[in-house]
Amino acid sequence: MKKKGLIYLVIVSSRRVLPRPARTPVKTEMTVIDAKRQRVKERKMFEHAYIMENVEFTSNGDLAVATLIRPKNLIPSIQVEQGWMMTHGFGIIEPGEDGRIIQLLTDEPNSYYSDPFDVVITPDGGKAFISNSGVDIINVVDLNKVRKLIAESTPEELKTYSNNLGVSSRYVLKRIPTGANPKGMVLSPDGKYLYVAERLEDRIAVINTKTLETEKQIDLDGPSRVTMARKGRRLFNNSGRTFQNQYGCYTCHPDAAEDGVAYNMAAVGMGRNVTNTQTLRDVGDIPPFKWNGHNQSVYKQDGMRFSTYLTRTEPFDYDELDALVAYIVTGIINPPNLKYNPTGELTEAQKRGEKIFFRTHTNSGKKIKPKDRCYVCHPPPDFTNKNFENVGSLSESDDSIPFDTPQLNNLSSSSPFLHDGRAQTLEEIWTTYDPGHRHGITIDMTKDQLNDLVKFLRSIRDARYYTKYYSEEYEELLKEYYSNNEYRNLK
Amino acid sequence: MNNKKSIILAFFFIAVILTGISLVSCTNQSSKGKIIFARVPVDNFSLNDENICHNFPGASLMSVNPAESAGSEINLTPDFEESCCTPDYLPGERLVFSREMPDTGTGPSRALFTMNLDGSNLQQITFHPHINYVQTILRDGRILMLSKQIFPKKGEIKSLAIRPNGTKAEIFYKGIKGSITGVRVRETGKGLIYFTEQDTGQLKKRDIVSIHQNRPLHTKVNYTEDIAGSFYSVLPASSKELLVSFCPSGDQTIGLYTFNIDEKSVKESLLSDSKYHFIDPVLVEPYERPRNLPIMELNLSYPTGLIMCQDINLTALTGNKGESIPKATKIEVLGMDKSLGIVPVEEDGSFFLKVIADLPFRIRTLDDNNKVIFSSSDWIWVRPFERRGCVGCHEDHELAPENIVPLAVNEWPVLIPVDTINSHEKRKTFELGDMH
Repeated sequence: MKKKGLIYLVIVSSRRVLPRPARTPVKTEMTVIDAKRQRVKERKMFEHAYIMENVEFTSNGDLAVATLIRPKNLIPSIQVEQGWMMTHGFGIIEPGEDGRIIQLLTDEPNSYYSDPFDVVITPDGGKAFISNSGVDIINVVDLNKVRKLIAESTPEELKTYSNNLGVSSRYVLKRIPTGANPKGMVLSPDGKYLYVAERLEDRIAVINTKTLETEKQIDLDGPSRVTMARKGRRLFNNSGRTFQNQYGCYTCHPDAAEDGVAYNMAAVGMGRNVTNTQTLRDVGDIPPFKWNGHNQSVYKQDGMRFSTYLTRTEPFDYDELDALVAYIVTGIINPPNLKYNPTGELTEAQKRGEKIFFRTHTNSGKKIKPKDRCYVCHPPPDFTNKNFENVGSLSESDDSIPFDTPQLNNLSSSSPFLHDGRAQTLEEIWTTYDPGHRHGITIDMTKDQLNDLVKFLRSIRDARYYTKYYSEEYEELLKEYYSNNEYRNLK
Repeated sequence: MNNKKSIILAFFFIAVILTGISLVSCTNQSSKGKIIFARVPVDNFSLNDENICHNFPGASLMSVNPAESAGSEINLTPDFEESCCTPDYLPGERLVFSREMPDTGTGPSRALFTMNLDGSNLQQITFHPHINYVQTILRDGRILMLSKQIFPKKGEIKSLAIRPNGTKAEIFYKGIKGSITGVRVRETGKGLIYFTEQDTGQLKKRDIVSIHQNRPLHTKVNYTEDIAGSFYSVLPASSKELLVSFCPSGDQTIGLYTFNIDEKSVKESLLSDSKYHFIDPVLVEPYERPRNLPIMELNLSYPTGLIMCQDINLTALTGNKGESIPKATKIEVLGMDKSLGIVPVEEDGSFFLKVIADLPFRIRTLDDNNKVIFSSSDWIWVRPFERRGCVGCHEDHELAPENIVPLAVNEWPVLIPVDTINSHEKRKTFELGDMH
């Protein structure tokens, strides 16, 4: 928040990328709000950047600093060397409508500082502290050197700096080690001390902002025993098991969800089989994993091939793998669906959509084949039958395989959709990307019916709400199609 | 009868499995405490002070277990008549070492090989016409090697980092023109890498320098440029102190000394003798094992590897007197003694090649008229089934790629050499160059 004359501006950082055509670079909007008039004043665009967690102004308002990640999802993921997968840094926002947006990295050529989260600035505007939660480091940035660099550089040079791994040596003063997963930070009122929440350590570090040394750590008396799942959570949030710490599980799965972009995983060749990141929330009971369903267990998913083709360094040892799997299969649930279904009570439109989801006949009364009914492939509680299907979404650059049917829990926060993320909205799945009408029967639906169906899909909550019983109206329908045993297995 | 057979067969298989497990565990146990060293015939041993890289003809790699009786040495490289030296331990129970290669007309070269600790499963991992020596294993798991091009002309000495399976070789460090970097380097727990280097133009003056692993090309510090005398080896002893082999003047022998990093001065003399030189000190203390990088990325039965470049017109080089550089529209792939083909690049400057594995090649950029814009790159090779990327030609090594889809990967790769092209892959006009 900044005081500028009588107008208060609030800059809202964003974690999710903006909808965009498939196979185009990410961009993130930073919204400037006129707080007095409560209107959006300006939208500033950060090209090629995402997961912008926090933003902070200098006290005199000459610039704002925001954390960001620059993913390389469009490039074949064939190596980690030379920033080929992820780079991390911060954005500088100059105030005013003509103010520039400049992106700078905190990474180095052989060392990366993943998952920047919070940023705070000293009262004199001279230093910015950035918590890099994936590597347990606080990066200290000399803002005066940044100002000088910006002033002396041409626009072309500044553009190059956003991909330059060496330029950080010109403004990073120090990299201060912390306990596990440093996240939120706050300065003491006099600016002499920086307090850092070491989130997965249950501790607060106190750093002297002049000496840049950690003076003490305040224990918050968390659990003394580190459970298997907690150890797994630390591993999940740490990038130490990737070559040169370039990224961790958390980077592509922030808060164990998904980062909303599709990656060119280059499993064979280099331009094929682009895949949309999938959520890891509540996935323990719904193998197989990956869109191609090649991994029957999380153990396999995060095992040897994971280190060979993704992290490209030493694999997790057995204890670490046990811990990581324990966290993934037991420790992650979907948050409440506050926006579309906070209480479990569906709106009228959602109920109409639910009816369509469970329909067995078209509008003209023709019986729909079971395989073309929504609920057959997407039965509750996980809204997946855990089988493979081909819904006609294969493109020329895909291998000719069916895909693992995805679960639909908390679907509203999982855009984009389909295996390669080509559908930016749920509507597009049927209006644009189902030319062969193989993704269920929707061709007979009116626009309102499709809208209702989408509203119902957005209302779907975590599987635990549907585990014991779905609803009287549709329970028999599900039992009718699946034998009793199969239906129990679904649950 | 059938049941009896089954039981006998089952016992047989169990016995085989148990024997296998026993052998494996014996192998692992017996490798602990082993010493690997290079054995040099007396007649071939001479230290030429002008060469930091000593090439001892006929040197073999030997393994000995100090706990066993004398004469238990094993020759790990009995099949090599050429010199083998600079062995280093690779995590995963492997060794890496440098071997002199048979001269195929390019001059005396040395390649790096890896093998098991008993000498089995030998694999060559470098394939370019260079002289290569192992420097150290970096904590991130890569091999650091000292490398000097010998063909088609002699190049400068550089340090290259390479994965243990021979993939992703990239420049790590190079000194000023004409400098000679020491073979053996040491990386500290804080990422500082110390070595000796001769870069002052004085023949017998070697200095102690350090670089930082995080940014090796731009972090060099010379600690001894103002000190008379020459340093022959360096070992970090603590955060403030080095253990060095130092010769104060030409008429003295090399002794062991401590060196204060902050004061940049030689301190205490630990050992010196007018009859002996003391070099290559080693501190007996545990250290953090480097990462064991996965080697499964390769499929050695695969005949080719892939290489993709994002934009050949992205370069760190500049034109003469600030002139703009003409845009390249083709590349020529040069082999050891012939052109392997000219390939048009995409509009965005990208290309995508499928190259015969382990074949050294260089790339130069051409305009529409086949006029050379930038001369050849360093030697490159791809391993079987390797996939490799580069941002540009003659790129700034600190530049990360832009996040855009390279147009070239939307099509099938071009097979190199192009005269091996089959009809399926012949989608553009390719030609063989004439090595002009």
